[in-house]
Amino acid sequence: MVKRSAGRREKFQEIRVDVGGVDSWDSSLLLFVSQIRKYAAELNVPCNMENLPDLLRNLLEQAGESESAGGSQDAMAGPSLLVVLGERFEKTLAGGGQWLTFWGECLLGGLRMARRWRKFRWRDCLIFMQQAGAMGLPIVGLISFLVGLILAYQAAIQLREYGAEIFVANLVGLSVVREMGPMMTAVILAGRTGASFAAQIGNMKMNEEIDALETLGVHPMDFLVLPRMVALVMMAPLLTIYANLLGILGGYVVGVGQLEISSSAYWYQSQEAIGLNDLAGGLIKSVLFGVVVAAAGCLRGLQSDRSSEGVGRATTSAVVTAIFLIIVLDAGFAVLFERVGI
Amino acid sequence: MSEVDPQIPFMIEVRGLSCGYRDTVILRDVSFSVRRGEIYFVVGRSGCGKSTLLRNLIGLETPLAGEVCFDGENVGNAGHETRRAMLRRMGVLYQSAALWSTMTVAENVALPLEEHTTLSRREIRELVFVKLGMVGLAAAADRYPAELSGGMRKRAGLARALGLDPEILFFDEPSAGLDPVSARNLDHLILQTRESLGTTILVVSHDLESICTVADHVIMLGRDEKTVIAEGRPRDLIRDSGNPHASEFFQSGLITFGEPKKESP
Repeated sequence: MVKRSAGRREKFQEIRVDVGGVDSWDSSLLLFVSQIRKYAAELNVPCNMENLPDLLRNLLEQAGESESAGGSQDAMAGPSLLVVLGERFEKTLAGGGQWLTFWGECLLGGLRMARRWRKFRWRDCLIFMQQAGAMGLPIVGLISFLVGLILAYQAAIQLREYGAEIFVANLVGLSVVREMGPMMTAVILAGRTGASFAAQIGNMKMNEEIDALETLGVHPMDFLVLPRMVALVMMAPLLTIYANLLGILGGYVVGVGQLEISSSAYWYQSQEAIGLNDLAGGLIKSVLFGVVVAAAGCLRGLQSDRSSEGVGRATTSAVVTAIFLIIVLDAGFAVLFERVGI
Repeated sequence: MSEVDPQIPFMIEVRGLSCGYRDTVILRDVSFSVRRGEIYFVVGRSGCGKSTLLRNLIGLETPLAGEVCFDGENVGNAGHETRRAMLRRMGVLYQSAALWSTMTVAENVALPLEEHTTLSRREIRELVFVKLGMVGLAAAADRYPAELSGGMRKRAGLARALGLDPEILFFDEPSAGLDPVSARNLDHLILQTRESLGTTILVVSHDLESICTVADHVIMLGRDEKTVIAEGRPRDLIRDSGNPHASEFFQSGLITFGEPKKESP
């Protein structure tokens, strides 16, 4: 057994390690002995190793060498704040440049598609439509219904004080059609579909599949991005209409069930409140949200590092970017619609 | 292997090529020429820049300096359309085969044909089976890449690369990740492709056995020198390469294959 000859911080003349009689050992002995050696060096006393097995002695030498090699790296100071800031700035600029390039390429791809629409990958596009649209119906429906319900309850608390419960229909109808329907649909699309776009494309990049496309003269834009974008541009407004209906239904359930508004009065009030321009405004927004979600998913996928960690980061970043842009766009539209009077 | 006739024109000419990324130079001043129908190997130890050289040759990355000519035409300063036309004349087999995972093998092979030819769907389907037959994969046409073994994937990748009857074929580490038998089969396919189609073939590899059995001409890249350190026919290089690092590489096979290992005392 190893005798612990190094104890508390006392005055030592010498540290002696005797490994005689040890017949089997593993890395923990190596670690122990090398710690003792370091300790001895700290105290500045000689350290004598006795009866070290040859293999252990070799390993110890190697450990000492690699430590001194690693030590010099530790000594290197980190980059100064100015350098960090500069690098960040450069990275942000490059990121902006990549966005611009992406939109430019998208435009060119769109023009190519218009010229030879027969070669457009409609089959892929249909699959994406199914994944984003039909398969998203349950979750979009449930969330919109609940949002309508929540809005109705909140409105009822305020409106009841004035005996104006019937205006719950106006409030729910307008906020669902103008804001919540398009936005909730877009957020769900970003989480479900945008993330999966980024993961698919990132994985393809990792597997050299995108290089293969380029060397075979197939444009990744035409092959990967445009079908996804077309699918979302078509599906986002359709899903929004569906979300609007279910949101209003949520309000209706509260209005008729809790507030004792008659069914026909609720429908009539909703119809009166929601104009065609409200509906159109919401749908225009949803088309742009679809573009943003598809673009964020595809661009982050194309930018992803060639590693599984990189793909994970790309997926997260796709969702964050998409939701951020959705909210910013929505704020912009709120101002614009107010000016135009929609 | 026949001697290469000096009358045959050059298919690939690389002059003073330097490549790397922004601050780091990975290769500098690389020059070599490949004759039509030659099987040319670029070899070197891991991390010497073989794959980077390949990515620069096929236009996935832009060289820092120097020029790359295919069939006398400089691709470096060529416009987008010429470049695209050039790409049509090349095929690449990637290290991971890079089959598109959402498509079956047949669809993988068909895509370049759909993109670049005006053939009808039926003609394409027939052509796909011809190409798959050439690599012995006709039976696996409707399977997805994930259902194939490594060797089958590489052969499917080769069938796809052969799709547009390329004049130049690039192979990135063809034997990487394959068992010895599959690797030798692939070597055989490389030879067969040259025999039947007269394709010019550039292979990036570090597999000594492939080099000895397939290559007409070899250049070796040095990891520390960052450029070509030896050049010649494989058997000459094995005998005497004229560079200590290159000799170490070429002789490493002899220890395991040539002489029986000495028993340690």
